Amino acid sequence: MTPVLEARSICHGYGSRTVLDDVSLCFHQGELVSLLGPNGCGKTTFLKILLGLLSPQSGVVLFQGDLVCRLPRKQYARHVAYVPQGHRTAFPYTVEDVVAMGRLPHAALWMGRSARHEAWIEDALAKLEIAHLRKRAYTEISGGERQLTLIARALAQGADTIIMDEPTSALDYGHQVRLLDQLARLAGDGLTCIKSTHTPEHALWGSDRVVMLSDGRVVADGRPREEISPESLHRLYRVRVRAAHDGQGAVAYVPESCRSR
Amino acid sequence: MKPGRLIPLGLLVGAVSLVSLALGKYNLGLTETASFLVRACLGISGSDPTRQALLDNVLLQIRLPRVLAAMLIGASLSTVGTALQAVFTNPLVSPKTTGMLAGASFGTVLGVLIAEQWVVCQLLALVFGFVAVGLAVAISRMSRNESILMLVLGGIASDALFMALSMTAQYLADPYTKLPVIVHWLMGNLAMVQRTTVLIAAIPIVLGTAFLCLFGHQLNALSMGDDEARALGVPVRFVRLCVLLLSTLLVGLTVLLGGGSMVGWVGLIVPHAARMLIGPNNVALLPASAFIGASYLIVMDDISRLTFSFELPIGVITSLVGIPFFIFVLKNARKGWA
Repeated sequence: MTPVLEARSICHGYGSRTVLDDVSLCFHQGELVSLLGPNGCGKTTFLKILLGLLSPQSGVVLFQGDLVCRLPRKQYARHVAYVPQGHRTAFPYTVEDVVAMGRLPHAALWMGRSARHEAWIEDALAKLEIAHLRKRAYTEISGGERQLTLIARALAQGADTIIMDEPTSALDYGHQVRLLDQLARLAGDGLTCIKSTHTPEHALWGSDRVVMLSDGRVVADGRPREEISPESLHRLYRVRVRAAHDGQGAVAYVPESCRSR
Repeated sequence: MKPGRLIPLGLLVGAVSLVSLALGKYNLGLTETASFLVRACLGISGSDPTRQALLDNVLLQIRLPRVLAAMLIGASLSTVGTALQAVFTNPLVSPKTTGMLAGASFGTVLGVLIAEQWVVCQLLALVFGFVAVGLAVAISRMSRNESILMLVLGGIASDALFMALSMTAQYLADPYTKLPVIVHWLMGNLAMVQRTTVLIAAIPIVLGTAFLCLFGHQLNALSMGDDEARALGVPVRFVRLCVLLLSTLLVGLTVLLGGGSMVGWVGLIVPHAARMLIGPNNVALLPASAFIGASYLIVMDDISRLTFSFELPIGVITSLVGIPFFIFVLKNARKGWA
């Protein structure tokens, strides 16, 4: 099976600093992949290169076997969507306006909103259960709702692959869990999700695969249950943790330094 | 967005223009003005030839060019302001902060200084508008990361440079013959506007403004940031270049119509007022800005020519009336920009 997205020996750096050193990874359809690694290990740079927003110094990205740098941007946008962190925008667009932006790759330079576009927008709002927010200002809803809006935009884009940069980093605990549930559901429907995260448990819960990056290199790549361990987390983050099992198969990692008192 | 929301604003421009044509030292009734305009459009002459000649002179020769000029300047500066705010993802940007207004103004001042013909001033206004924006872009390119913020800073630097050059030109100008012309003109002056100039400038202004309005969807995406817009398939650099070039052209044209640098305020407050009224979606916001800006500047010009026995420059009125209007809009802003 040909991978949906493939990065081949990507090297990149800023100035004299090397950020990515010969990174090769394949992503397959319906996979939910978590990228794990310390700050500055090159996660964001790698995601931007996958999206074609940055050209790597060497190496190539292939989408279904085609060179991404040769694909028209609009065509690539119909397949691969970017979900940034739930930022605040300068202007108070409504949730519906933001989701409607997802239709841009499918329209002529000056599109009118036709019934076909409306159907996609409705569908995306319904899938993420945010239809009741449609008229609310994007600047006024919570961080979790903003993140859901951006994922809805990616769905309205008609994308089969979505790339997310730390989707849970600005969310409260409840929103984090609900977002992870949504992602698992979307991946179950055949969507390929590639996300970076700072929480090892987020890679364990729901992800099919974890990729660990350290100093611009892939240090581990495989099933989260096999790759995530006190040893690998220590190698990655320089902290000692121990695994806490709940007896029903779920695992969490607790730092040794902060035992509950 | 339903296009129906723009119809009341279009009607507003029509109503304001009609009332403004009827208003003046020589008072004409609304019905007489309206029926004369209808007859003039249809090419039917009135019953009384002397009255006809009078109406023709007052309405078509004297008032219509002014009203049209105010309409065109207001509409184009407001649309440019809205588009630039989206391109720079910053609600504080206006035609002024990109240097284009100062550049065009300096061009005209230089024209007054070195030549007698008004055509030279007009050409120089256009040329220096583009030079100023080019400088802003050049400054932004000098920084290692080519960000939007750098472009705003480049624009501010370019604005400061051309303001300083205008000052120098004023300092050097003959204080009896040329300085009064320059100062009067910088404040904005529609009294000297000529019918032929208005009619010639109207074509590119209307086309340019309409063209800018077509970028609504792209500008929505662009205002979310470059990376997101690119990931949505928008050719970011191309759209930004188109908007910058069109804006510079439009601002240059308003300056040569007699806009003057102080009228630039319109390009900051009208976009905000329009956003309050119909929301931030650029698809509707761009044409709405054009309509509201047109109405606003026509009313400002009415105030400037009717309130006092002498004519107060329109730039002064725009700022004086604009500030309380701006405060009113800000107070009533329910949706934050932050």
